[in-house]
Amino acid sequence: MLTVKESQIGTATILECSGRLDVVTGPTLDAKIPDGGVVVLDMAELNYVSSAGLRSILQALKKLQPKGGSLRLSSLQPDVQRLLELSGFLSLVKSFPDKDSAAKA
Amino acid sequence: MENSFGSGSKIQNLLEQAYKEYQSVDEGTVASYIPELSRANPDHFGICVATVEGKTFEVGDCDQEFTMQSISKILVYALALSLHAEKEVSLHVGVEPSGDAFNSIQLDKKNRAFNPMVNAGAITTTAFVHGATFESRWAKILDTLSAAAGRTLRMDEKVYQSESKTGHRNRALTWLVTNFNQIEATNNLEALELYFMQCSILVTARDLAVMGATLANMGTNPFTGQSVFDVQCIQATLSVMFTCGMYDFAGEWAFRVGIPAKSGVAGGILGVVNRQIGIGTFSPRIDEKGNSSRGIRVFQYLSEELGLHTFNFMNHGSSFLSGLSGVESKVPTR
Repeated sequence: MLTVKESQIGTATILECSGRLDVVTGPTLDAKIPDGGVVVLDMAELNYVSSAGLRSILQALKKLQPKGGSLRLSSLQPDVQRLLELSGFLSLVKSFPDKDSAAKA
Repeated sequence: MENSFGSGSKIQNLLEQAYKEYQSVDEGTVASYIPELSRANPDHFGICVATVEGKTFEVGDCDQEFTMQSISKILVYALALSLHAEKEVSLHVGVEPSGDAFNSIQLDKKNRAFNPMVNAGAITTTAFVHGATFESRWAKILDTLSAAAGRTLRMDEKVYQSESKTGHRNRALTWLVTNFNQIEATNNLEALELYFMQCSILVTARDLAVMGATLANMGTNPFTGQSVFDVQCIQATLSVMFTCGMYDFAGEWAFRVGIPAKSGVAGGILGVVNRQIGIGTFSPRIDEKGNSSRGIRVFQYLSEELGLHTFNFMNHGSSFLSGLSGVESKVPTR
């Protein structure tokens, strides 16, 4: 189960993800990614990301970057943080302690 | 102790999730070409993962025994390659996926079976297990498979008798490859009986996972520390599993799951993620190609969720190359 709550901080789109990001729920996130601009995936309530979930994050990145947009992550739980580190994702996507600092960076 | 799988609870959760998700799948039917197989309980369902660090995770009926059937082919192939040079074995059995069913009567242009996973190729492979007597040859097979599973395995006598009595097509295949000198005529019927016997060895989903972990762990059983297969033969064995392991579903399997695996008509599937884990599943309902319906789904699910496909974007390629030239794998952003 994944719920994605959308809001704005300044010009940044905040997508607050809660639940699991996996093969079943990935498409829910994919559908919420806008075509451009600054997008923050806030993961304070996201307690699981699978390999299929990482693919959704990568897809978001590939969608936003060529158009000058950017993807940022915030409020990672320790397990998710560790997974993203091990998979090399944190060298690609910037991570911030909270959604406000991510939106304003 | 913290290992590369962390506390492992996530893997356990994932297995439970898969079990829950596919428990209600009732597509397919229990194999019935011999009466003993048709008596299997179609609702049995077990999933086990064994790591090269010697840890298991399991859910469902992982103590339920069933016969290996075609899964034995891959382990006996690894045994044959441990006993003989690959070139010698390859003179008599090819490594080309046939696209045909397991009981295909076709041979390749060199009059060999297409690969060791079709019956003609498996019987040829079993003939490579030499010994002074029939009993010593059988002991070599049973002891090797037992060592791979980390426990003493036994054969289901009734299944064996039934396979042997009704296996006329396999008998014909044996004579066909004998005709082309792939097996010696003095050896061929012994090889055929050994083949029927190896197919009748009883295993559990947990055994399959541990056997898979033994292959994943360069041929050494990670639970017992016993070296079972020559390290040289692992790459060849996994390659054959990858291209030919799932009968005539092998291409689709490689595409969707991407894990070297071997299935059997009793409902087992053994999968190997090289250097990491072995996976064993058991569910007796098989599809028209002979593969377990729930098993296929479980493997596809685990492959997606854990990024196990050989060509998954998370796969970093050769660590040797990274070390040698500083070619670090990067996730592309364009």
